[in-house]
Amino acid sequence: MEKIETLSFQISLILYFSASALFILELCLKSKNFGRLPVLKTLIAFSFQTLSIILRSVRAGHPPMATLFETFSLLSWIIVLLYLLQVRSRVNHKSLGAFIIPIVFIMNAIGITSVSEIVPLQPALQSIWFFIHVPLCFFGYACLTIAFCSSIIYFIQDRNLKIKNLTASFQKLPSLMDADDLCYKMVTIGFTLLTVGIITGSFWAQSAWGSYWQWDPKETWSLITWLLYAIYLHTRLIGGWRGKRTNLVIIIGFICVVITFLGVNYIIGGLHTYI
Amino acid sequence: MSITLLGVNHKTCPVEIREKLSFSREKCKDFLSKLKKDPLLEEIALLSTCNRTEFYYFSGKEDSKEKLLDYLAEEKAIDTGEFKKHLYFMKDREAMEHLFSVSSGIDSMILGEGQILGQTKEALEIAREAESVGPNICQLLRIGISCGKRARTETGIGTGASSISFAAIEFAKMLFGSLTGRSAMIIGAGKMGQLTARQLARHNLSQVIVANKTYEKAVEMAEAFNGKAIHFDKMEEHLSKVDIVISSTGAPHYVLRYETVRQALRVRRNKPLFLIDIAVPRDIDPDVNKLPNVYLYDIDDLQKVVENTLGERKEEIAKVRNIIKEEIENYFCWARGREVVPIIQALNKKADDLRSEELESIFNKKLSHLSEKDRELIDYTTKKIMNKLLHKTIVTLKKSSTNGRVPGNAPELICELFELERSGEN
Repeated sequence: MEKIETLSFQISLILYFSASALFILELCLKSKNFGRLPVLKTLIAFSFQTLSIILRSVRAGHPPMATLFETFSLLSWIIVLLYLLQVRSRVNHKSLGAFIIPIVFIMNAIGITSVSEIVPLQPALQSIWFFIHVPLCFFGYACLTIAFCSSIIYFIQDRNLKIKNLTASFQKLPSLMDADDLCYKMVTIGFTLLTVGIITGSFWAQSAWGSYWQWDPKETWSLITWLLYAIYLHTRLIGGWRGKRTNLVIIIGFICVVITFLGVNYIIGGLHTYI
Repeated sequence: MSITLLGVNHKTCPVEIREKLSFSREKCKDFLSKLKKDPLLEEIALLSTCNRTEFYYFSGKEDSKEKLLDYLAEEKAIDTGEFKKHLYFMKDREAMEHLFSVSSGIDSMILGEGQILGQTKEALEIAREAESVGPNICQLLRIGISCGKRARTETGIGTGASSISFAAIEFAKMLFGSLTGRSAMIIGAGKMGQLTARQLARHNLSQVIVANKTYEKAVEMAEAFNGKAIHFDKMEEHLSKVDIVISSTGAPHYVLRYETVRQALRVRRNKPLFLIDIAVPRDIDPDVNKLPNVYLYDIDDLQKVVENTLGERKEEIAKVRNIIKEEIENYFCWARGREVVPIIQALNKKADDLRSEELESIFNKKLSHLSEKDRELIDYTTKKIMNKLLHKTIVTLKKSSTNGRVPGNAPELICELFELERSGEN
């Protein structure tokens, strides 16, 4: 069964790579149009990845979210899930894939280079909170990743419009306002999930370590991230800020997400390191 | 018998003469009904647009050309001498290539335009209504239309924005996505502005506001767009309420200044604003484009896009010509097929007649004692023999029409060998 799991994962990795290449080519070359092929490949890759995650859960006895490999894989899986749900609702949004799927591929590629054996859960992780706090945060990160990609598209379209160039990418990417609206929607959802994630995290901290908040690097950085997105939402709703300034906040916010998710574990250390 | 083309277009004929030779839909139909009565012009269709008048007909006689010109001169009450030197006259492959080029948009004044395809379809409709066409011209126009469709889906000949108003709308879409529910304001009554506004109004806008120095003119225009007219001094306060502004006044100074737009943005809470300035001299202060969330396009910007588009379309012409070549071969295939079908029928008939004749004679005489069942068996067997013998011949005939590898002149040879009459077509 382990063989099937590994094989499924490898197939999905190759398909993600192929889909990424198609998405990027279609965006850059005016005449290329692959139709439904890239999304189809993504869907198939997603199915294989789902299979591999399910098999791993069965083997481990719990959903896989502890090791580097597992966290990267699961997070990328959630990102693809959100992407596929988005693509169903609007046609132009499939070009988001040119930004999202390469990220997914890179995450899985990094994951596969690390240890892939199942590691027994550390005592601190053997709690019901593990299965609430982590998925919530991951869904939050996934939404914010998509918001980040929308923001990039916003900058691209803004540039296209300002230099008054009817380029090939314009017709295939979502419009400026569509990108902006998607970003806003994703931040709203992601921010809410992140908030609940941080709150459940502190309840878990109380039950595991005896204190709600210890200013551990992960906690601190997640708070910084939270603040940045709060600023975005606030300025947009109350201050009427829109456009490049607010989208810059998204970019910075995403950098913080990356630091919170990765940097803390590998560069700084602290209570949250497991790998 | 050949396909013939006789016509004028914007390249060969100045507009003063072209307009004398143009036909409205009704006049087209009437003229074709008149022409079909003449046996010299067996099948005829007419394509008449503001840039061309072309007759496509099928005829075997040489003097059909002169006859048609006489009819035309009579109908339009002008002397043949006036327009004869502007005419072009083509036959068969050349005529086909011309028609297919026309329907694909590569003969149009604006390269790659799409209107001509609809006009070609209409020409076929009119000719059918007038009952002036038969299978040949019908098939010609049908393939012409299909060629035009192929050109537009398989190449980039029709993509991009080929006019200023179209370019403006494409940019608006890049900004807003769907234009449904957006609102627009039109300032001034310039022609280009009205054209753009009209195109925009097709997109299901939530509101169109018209502002003009003369209030009555604004009301008149507002009616055309199903919109609302406002007094010119109220224009600035409405600026914050619309998403798109089209400005083409005759004013020598700026009608929309930097501060005004900046204020409007604040009231709009920075929702993006799309400004199209088609006036010369410009109506909108160009510094406005430096404001965030404002996108200002003047006539030069849009014109540059149009030039880019046309440049890109030019590069697609070669691909379109390839498609045209393929479609011409399609027509010839079809024509050959039509020739071959009566021969196959004649061959089958001759063979079967011969067989039936012999069987009848012998069933009445020497084999008259045979039962019904036996007769059926003999009938069936002789039929089988006949079909097997003729099989390869018939297959060869079919192949010759689709350009398969067959000995040269197979149809003629087979007709001679089997003593078949080459019956005329139609």
